[in-house]
Amino acid sequence: MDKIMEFLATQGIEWQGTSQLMESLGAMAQGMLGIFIVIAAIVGVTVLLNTVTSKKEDKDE
Amino acid sequence: MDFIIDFLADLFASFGALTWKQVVMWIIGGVLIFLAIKKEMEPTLLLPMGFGAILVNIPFSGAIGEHGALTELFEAGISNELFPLILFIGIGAMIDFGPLLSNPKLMFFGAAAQFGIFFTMFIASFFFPILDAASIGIIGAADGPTAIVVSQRLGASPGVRAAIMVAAYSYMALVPVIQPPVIKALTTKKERQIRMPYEPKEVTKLTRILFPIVITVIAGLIAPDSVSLVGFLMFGNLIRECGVLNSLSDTAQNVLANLITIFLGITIATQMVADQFINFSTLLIIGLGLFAFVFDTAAGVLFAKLINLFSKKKINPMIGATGISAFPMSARVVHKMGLEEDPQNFLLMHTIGVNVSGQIASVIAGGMILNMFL
Repeated sequence: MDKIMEFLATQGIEWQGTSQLMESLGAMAQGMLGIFIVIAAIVGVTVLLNTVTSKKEDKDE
Repeated sequence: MDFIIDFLADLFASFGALTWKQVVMWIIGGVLIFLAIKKEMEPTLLLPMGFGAILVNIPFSGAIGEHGALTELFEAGISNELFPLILFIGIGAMIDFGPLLSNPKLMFFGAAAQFGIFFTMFIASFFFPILDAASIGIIGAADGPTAIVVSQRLGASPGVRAAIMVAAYSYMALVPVIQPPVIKALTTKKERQIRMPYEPKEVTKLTRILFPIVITVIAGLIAPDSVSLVGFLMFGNLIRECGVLNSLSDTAQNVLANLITIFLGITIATQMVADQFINFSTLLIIGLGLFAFVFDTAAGVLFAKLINLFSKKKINPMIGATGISAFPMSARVVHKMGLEEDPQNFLLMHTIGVNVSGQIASVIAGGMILNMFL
């Protein structure tokens, strides 16, 4: 393991180990949850737009 | 005699300064050009990048450095993120959200297929500081402008940025090679043969006009750092859909997009200087980029399979894979796979809808990353 880390260091890669584990896991959870929430909001608004604008068109006709 | 020797020495001084790394970059440039011309893989990007890689790796190249044209272009358009954002106007003008608007639930597949971004960020965080890891993860957005904007804003180091840009654009071109094996590994023949008849629903012009405005406001309120990314994309789409700016829409889709693509492609190469590019770190980033694409595809397919557990009307799980933002290549690849399994199964309208939703979701993912780390 030490030899691998030495090799990585010579290549300019600093082995981070588990020092960022909680931060990256948290970011992963937050990111995926955030995307689904935003997309759910967009889907909801789109369905609403479709309903309202199609009713408006029927009314105009 | 001395004069002739001195003259020849001056003339060929550059040959002595040539390093093996620069020769390797010439070969890489040549490979990108070959892929662009012979294999017709994303030629609009791979050819300028390949040629640029050669330009910047000639010893004492005047194209880079203090008064170098490519360096000036980089400062003018990439370090301030202007080129990718302007390109987004063109991309927005090219996209028809109709198939998506007639079946908005398809957007959830676009969301699922961004998993590769975050999972790759998690894996990369073992090797790189968190900001570099987040920049590497964004390769999974399968979207060049988003990758450039996010990695630039997060302050990724130049060597990391170069590898990210090369990986993002190269893998977009390799979607027909990367996606099919992943899809086949995660699905059965019976699942791939699931038919999905297309039942088009009318989408009003008012919806088409309001959609880009509403998306920008929603995404902007939740992730303010995504406003430029989402906003420029939706601005392009609004120009297209409003119906009164046909000449601007035409310009955005063609002249503007082509012009910026030329500058973007060749300017990205300023990051491909041999000393910064040829190292294990670049190889690792390119490997992680492939990882991101694979997990994007897998997540989309598995999400579709999950939906099928609870849904009476079965979905062909292959369409989940098109939630990746590589538009329209991914849509065409999966549609073709569907036809190979069942010549009567036309998945194109569904795959286009999901693929377009992937474009929106990837931009939102980029915005979320900026929001979390800035």
